Amino acid sequence: MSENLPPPSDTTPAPKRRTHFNNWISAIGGVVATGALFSFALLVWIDFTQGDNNPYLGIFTYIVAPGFLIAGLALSFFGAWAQRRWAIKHAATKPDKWRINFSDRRQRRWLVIFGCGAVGFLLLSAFGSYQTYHYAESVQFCGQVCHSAMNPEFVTYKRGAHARVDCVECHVGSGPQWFIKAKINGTHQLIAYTLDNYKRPIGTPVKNLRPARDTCEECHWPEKFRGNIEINFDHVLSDKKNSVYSARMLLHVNKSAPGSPLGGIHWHVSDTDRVEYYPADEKRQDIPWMRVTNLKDGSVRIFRTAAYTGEPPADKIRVMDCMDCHNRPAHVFPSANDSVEQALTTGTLSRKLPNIKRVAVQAMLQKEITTEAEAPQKIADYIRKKYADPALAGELPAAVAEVQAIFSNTMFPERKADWRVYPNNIGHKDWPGCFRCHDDKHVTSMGEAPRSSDCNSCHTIVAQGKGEELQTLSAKGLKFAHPDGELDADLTCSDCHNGGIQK
Amino acid sequence: MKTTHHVLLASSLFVFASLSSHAAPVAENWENHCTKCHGDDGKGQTKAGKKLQLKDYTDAKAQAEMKDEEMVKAIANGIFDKAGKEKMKAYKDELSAAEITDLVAYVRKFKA
Repeated sequence: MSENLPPPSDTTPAPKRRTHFNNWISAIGGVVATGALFSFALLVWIDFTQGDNNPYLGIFTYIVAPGFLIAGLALSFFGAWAQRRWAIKHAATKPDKWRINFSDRRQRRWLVIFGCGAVGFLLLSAFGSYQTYHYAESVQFCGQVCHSAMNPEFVTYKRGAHARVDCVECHVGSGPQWFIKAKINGTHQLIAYTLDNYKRPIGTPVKNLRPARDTCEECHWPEKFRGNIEINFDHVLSDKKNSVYSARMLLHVNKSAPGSPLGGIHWHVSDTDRVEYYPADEKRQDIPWMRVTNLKDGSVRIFRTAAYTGEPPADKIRVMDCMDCHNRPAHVFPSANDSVEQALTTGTLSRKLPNIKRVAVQAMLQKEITTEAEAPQKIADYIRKKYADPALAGELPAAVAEVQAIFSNTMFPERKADWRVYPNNIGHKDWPGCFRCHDDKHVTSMGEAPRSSDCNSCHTIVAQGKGEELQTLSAKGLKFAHPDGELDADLTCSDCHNGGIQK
Repeated sequence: MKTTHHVLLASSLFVFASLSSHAAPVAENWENHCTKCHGDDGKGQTKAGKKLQLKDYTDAKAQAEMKDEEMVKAIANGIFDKAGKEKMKAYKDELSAAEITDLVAYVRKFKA
């Protein structure tokens, strides 16, 4: 039988040489790389169409997706290298250990399953990329997942005027440069968070914060600063009657723009003048030197305190922007006084309890309160002890609950975070604020003080006092009448007022 | 006998409690109304105290210069400078006569 067979021919073609990429490892790598490429394409498309709305998109588009692409390609090449090495070593026995063999029925079955899995992976990559993109831009991502250490900031943010503005809009802004800076900074924070050695309270001012012109002015562009805005300050005095004392004033927020009156608070960010200053302390509360440059004629005025005779280091000089006054735009820690006064004037805290303004503030400021958990009981005990009179018993439960609620929303003992560690530069009551520069102590070499350092340059008090005193408005503006008597002209508000118990 | 002891003990506790509750308001009133200028220790070394050049109540000489009646009057009616400018507000609406008297006694205790 065998004799009838034709002899072997030398011209028989050799078996087709198979590529080393024909193996399961490379196939898996190929699927991963294809999925990553698919996600990358999708995210690039989102970045081009919606990128300005989500600075965090870059982390997925240009870091995560390429990372997977590179990992997939690496796996693919590793498979080819491993296959080749195996083939060389085991050429005589089993050179195709990981080969995808289409003639093998069992492997074909696996291939079908693998193919279905690969398609599913591609779809999940697209869906997952899109969902992750949306999650990363959410406030929950910033406030609760990554930054749980910043609970005080998250609580105050949710209550603030910018509660509907995403964290990244202000903290990162658009464009890759600040995104990378934010991520580098975030990496440091992540390490500190992991090692549980982050600062308590979180330090301010935030270093290397993006200039306000790139973030704040996206919505609050300077041309909008026109005219006056009216503000009512309803204070409650620390007396037995919890007397209300109001100041109703017009704040001159204009910017000397064409068509607006001259002057105004937002002159500080005018197009025609640049205001710079040198803060001598980390919190920017002590300003011994400032410089005003007229950008039209180039003239310069330098103001300094008598005690500061040197020249400030160039790298420490700040160009004034929104954040130098509006330094708590989204994370306002209201003082105990302000919170209690607001509760009293809105009626959520009863004024029938004598001295409740002071007692409530004292209850919140007890040194014994070291954790959030123990605060409610200590506050309740303190207030109940102060009001032993049975006639007042009916007022106590609601009062206690209100003070407890104020505490939980404004003071964070574990994080050591409350208004006392976060100066608020708007105004000048509890912190120096405007008076950091407008205090008549900064003068030029010619003895010239900053212009507009009188009260009416920034605000006009149109009514003040209580009851009928508030019925008559003054167009010219009233001299401020301090409810506790006229004070020494050399004293600033924050010399006595501190947001808590005056000392 | 046992009942008598209980009555005496209860009476003693009541007197002690009365004295304590009497002592607490004056310290509270000092803290609430006076420390912002005069300081916890009465030395007047607060920012406002320095500006107003307040007396150091721990100084025997300063204490000697003050008469109790003048102090009562000052707390009740306030203090004004020659120009009529208020330097310290009047507390007669805020504090009772007894509370003012207690405050005077409290100030006297600062004397070193």
